[in-house]
Amino acid sequence: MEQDHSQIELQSQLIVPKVSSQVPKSSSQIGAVTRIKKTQVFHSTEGDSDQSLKCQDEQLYRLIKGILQHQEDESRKRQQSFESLFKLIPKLSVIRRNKDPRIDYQDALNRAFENVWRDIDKFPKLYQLDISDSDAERVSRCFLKWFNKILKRRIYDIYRELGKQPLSLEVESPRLMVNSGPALCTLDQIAHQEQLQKVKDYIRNDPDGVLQIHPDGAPQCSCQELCNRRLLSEPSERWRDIAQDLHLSQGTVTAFWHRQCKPLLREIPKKLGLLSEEGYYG
Amino acid sequence: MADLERFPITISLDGEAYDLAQKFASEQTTSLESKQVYRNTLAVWAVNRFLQWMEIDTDLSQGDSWHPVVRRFNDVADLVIPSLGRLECRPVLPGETSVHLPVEVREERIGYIAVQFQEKSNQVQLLGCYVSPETDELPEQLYLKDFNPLDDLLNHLEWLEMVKALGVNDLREWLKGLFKSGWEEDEEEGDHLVVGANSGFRFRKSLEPLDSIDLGPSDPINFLIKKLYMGDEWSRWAAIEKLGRIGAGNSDAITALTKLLEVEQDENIRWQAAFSLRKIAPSHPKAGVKLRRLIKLGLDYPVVLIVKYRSENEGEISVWVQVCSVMPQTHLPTGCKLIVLDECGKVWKEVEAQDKDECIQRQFEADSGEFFGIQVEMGKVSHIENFVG
Repeated sequence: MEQDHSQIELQSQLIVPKVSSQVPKSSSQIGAVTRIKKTQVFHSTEGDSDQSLKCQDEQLYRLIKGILQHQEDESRKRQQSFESLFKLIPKLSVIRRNKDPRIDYQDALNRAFENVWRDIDKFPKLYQLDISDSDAERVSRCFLKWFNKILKRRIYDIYRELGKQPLSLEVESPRLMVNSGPALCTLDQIAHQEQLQKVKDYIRNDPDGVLQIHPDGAPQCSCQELCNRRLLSEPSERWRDIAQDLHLSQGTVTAFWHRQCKPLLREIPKKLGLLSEEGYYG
Repeated sequence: MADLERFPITISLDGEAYDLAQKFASEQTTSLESKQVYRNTLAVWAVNRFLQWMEIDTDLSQGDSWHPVVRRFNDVADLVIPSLGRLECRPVLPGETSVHLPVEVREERIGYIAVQFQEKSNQVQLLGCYVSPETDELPEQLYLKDFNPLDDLLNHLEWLEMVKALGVNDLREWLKGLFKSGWEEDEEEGDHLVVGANSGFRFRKSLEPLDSIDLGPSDPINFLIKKLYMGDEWSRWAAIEKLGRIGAGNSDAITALTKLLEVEQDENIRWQAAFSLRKIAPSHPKAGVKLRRLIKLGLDYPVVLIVKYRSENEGEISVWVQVCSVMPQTHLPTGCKLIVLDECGKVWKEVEAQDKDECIQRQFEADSGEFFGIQVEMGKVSHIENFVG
């Protein structure tokens, strides 16, 4: 068996211009794919040996390279690589399936192929890949991630055109909940008031001296100062105003807050012994 | 907008979602806050479920809504899309026609998703999205009728991803002090550089025009504000520059410069007003930014690329680009070119260094959100920087 054409008749449905029905002459990579048995093609990865996965990567990589290195749309080699790529993709187990009978999966695939055909030159940059200098495994992993994302977007488009809901609506363990949220009993409220007060006191007094860190050369922008302005003040102050007051750029202030302060603040409930048994403060 | 057109997405909430919401809500001190946190948590969970289905990477743990201290104080329902930004997922109660935005969620958001809750239902609906405008302030209320289909958000995320991946310099990010490595902000206006092309007033730092102004005895800021419209271009320019040096945080100075930017016609004056505004109010949307970077055109020709940017009214921006020799008072090699490329990478504007040019420059206007490129070329060697306005 030289080629496995039996699963999908893509040729007639491809939107890519000038797709010929001629499949590239055999190469070792194409041979590798045909080793995946028909029954495995659409279902699970079980039975795919590491070896055949590696061959898949190699083949994907070779085809993508073939497309990208022949830039002109008219190039015969580019066409052939596209053609082989679109024959290979549906056979890969990591490609997202859609079993919803309301969706024409083949239509979604074709739309995704059109998308790939249009945008493939942007693909290496999207994933910061140097195509001639990256390993096959990485390129094919990124490509499959990219393709799955495109495919999902096209499936979403089809749901939208049909006016149907894309996500399955069954709840695994149905239990009727009230979406308005829980009411707190008075005792809880008092206990939580005390906890909140402890957190506030900790921020105000900074007993461990940890909240005094600040960006280089900007002692006025301490973590404690930002806590006062963002958390304790009612209402919160805007970053724009804070940055202006502290004579810093907004980027400096917010980067410091997200990268330095917030990780510090995470430790406060633990330090105060407020960590619940479930550990949900962490 | 009709629901059909908007295509709301229904999401089922499962036990895990309710457990989390219950946990986060139970830390609050009043029933009102508790309910708010409960709904915020469910809203974020639902949007996260949708984005995961769309194969879009998210990071729940980085959100303020998942932060054990921040969510006790702030009314937040944010969801982090790694390396792209934050989405705010605001709950909408039955009968509500708008979404309330507390101060803490009106900044640092890519966009907002309205999440409709029903009484006694295990489902919520993602009604639509509101993509954040780049410079305008967000209001306290967003009306549901102004929300767009979620497609807008998906497209916007794709666009952001592309901007990031292509290494585009986002000029609006410059205003926030965020720029790529290699670039540095240049706060020294009137250094060895020519101010304004063909303006006829070149000067060097040694001239120090600013200190030649005799400040008023008691209220120097007010004195300078009065001088903004008095005298010749030179003395007005000097007054604006000085105001930028001493007016930090002063609201009168900020108002005066903003006003000047609205009415002034002279380009040199406008640029300087925008830069002074940058000094005294760094994040002001009308502030101007000037960045520079070194470019090596082969071993022999290091040059400096300088880009000035300020936003105009009605979604337009002004850009001024300049290439100078690295050392003051030396010439650019003849034939060195500065090229502005359009969105498709085609030549839009071009200027070539002539004999004894220290600098070459171009000014142009672009639309906010428009892509363009700057190419510096010397013989066969060239360097391109891509931008989005």
